[in-house]
Amino acid sequence: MNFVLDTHVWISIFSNQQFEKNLIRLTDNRLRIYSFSEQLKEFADVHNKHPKISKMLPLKTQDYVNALRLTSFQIETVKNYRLLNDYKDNYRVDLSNVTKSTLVSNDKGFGILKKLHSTEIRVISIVDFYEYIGL
Amino acid sequence: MIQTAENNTVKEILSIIEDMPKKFQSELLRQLKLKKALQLAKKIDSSKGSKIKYSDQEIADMVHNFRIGKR
Repeated sequence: MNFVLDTHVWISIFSNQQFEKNLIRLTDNRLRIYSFSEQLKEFADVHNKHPKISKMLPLKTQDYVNALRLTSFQIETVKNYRLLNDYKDNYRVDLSNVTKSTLVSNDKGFGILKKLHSTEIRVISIVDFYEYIGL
Repeated sequence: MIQTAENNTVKEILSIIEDMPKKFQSELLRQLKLKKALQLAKKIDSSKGSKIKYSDQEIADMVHNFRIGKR
């Protein structure tokens, strides 16, 4: 099964001190996580500029970006979706669509996808994702 | 001297890998990435961040507000 993790999900995973355990679970279950260059940039931006998040994750930004890059398969997508207000959210939807992935996000901005029956993007919460990988 | 020896090791590894099938190269890359990711995971898990613990939803809201320019 394939997943696209929203940036805040990566932050939760890195901050809960169970990243190694998560990584082993993902590998054992042969689950694939997809990411894209815009997400690496967004992660670096949030980590550099958001004081609470940089305190939460005290290592260098590059350590987390490398961890994200090494854990996921990097795919560049063509923008197809124009549904959501934030253009980066559309990238996430495109990536989920192209890779036939379930999108993991607690962001309320994706609520519209749950209401639209025309898209085939499945959005689940981070709790559901943890349940899926057996944490 | 050590630097040269290390470079020679890397060169030898590369020359062997170059002749291997693409499938083998991809699998090797996957395993190397995983090994490096596990090293980083240990470092990340042992780092001590702020004492305040935020819930997954609070973190989601922080990132959402950051995206829309509201912090």
